[in-house]
Amino acid sequence: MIDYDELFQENLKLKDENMKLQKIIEELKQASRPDDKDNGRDENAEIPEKSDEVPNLPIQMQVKDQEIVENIPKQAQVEEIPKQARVEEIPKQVQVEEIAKQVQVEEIPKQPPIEEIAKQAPVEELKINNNKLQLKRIQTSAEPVQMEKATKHYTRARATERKVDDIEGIVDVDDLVLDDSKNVVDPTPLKNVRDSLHYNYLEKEEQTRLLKFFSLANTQTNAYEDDTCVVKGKTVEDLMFDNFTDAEVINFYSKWLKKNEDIKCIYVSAYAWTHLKAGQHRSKEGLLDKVLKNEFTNDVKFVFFPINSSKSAFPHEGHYWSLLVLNGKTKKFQHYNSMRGRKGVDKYFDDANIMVCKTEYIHTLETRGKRNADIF
Amino acid sequence: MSEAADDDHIKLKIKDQNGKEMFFRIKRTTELGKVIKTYCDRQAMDPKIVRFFCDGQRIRGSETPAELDMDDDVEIDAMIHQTGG
Repeated sequence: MIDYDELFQENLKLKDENMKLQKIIEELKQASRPDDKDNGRDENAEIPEKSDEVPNLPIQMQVKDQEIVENIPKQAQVEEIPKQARVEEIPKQVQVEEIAKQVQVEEIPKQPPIEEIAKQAPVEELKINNNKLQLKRIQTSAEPVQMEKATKHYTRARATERKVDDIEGIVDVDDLVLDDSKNVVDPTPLKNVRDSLHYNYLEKEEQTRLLKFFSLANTQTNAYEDDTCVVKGKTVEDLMFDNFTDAEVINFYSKWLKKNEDIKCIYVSAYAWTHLKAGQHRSKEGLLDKVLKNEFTNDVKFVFFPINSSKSAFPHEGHYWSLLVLNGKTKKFQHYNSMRGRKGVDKYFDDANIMVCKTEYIHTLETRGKRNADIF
Repeated sequence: MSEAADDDHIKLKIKDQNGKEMFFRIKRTTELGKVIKTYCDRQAMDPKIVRFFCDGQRIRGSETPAELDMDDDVEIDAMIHQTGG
């Protein structure tokens, strides 16, 4: 039988010793702290050594504690107890090590507050995440505005590029590498000629020719090519389907008339007026003045000036053809305009007047008759 | 050497209908189509719509300055396709 009184007394003794040992440990801890403050982390390595010496006493004592506690309910054999104690020696050391670790852990925040940062960091991250969410909500509402800004920036960048070129002046073309892939466009086939209103009024030969051309050609194929004029498929299509008439068509027709008509006439290029209006003097000279100078003789019955005038301020936006004719016999200009209004200012007539005034070669001639154009 | 190099190259001026000018430098043996392409790229225009004239003579992309007997500082006029009703 176990004597409970003895066990109780032993237990009390053990408790006292345990208290003493804890005090010693605390003293050791306190002793180790000031060293750490002075010398830094290097002292930490020594702490476990000190603490290893200490536990030799308390482990045995604590083991006895547990013996008592465990033996009371179980009534286990006394021989088995030391085995458990030996087994439990390791965790005791671990505890001591843990204490040492705690000492370290407590010391670390004093010098570098890593843990505090680590603890605070997730909170900050959360805050940041919340902020990001709010930002995203704002961004979703603000996205279109940003897009507009981006495009504006792009256009500005392009504009500055051009300015740089203008400042530098000369673009060296030989050094440039051009993207051919951009300019390759699939040519669209022409419309069916049979849908054209004019198709039925043509003769059979012309119909078959047109059918052949429209079936084989696309908008970029040349219907007619010459030194001075090139008629594209698109132009022919526009002609057949009552769209705007190209200057090339007029040039081609004037050429055709020159070949096939017996009357001696001068057909000024359809581009002459636009060159004149745009202030491109050299081309205007080539197309207008030189032609008149070389060809305007007394035999010439008519001189035809096609004029592509516009009501807008920009000379390149011509939209309406009218015809100015110089009669070689009477030396009078006549303006043919199929859309002349009955009242008000005739803008196209004014254009014709400008053309009359600017034909410098004729000015230098001794003009007989009126210089201003008559209206027809 | 520099004089010889200058002989190989010529300066071109392309003038549009609004009077804006743009300068190019090109070898005599390079096709003018390259100039036309770069000009249209910079001006954001379709090359099919624009016509180029030198002294009233139409310029085609396959021609070179040597073929056209172009001098230095040649002026080329650009013109947008003229149509009307």
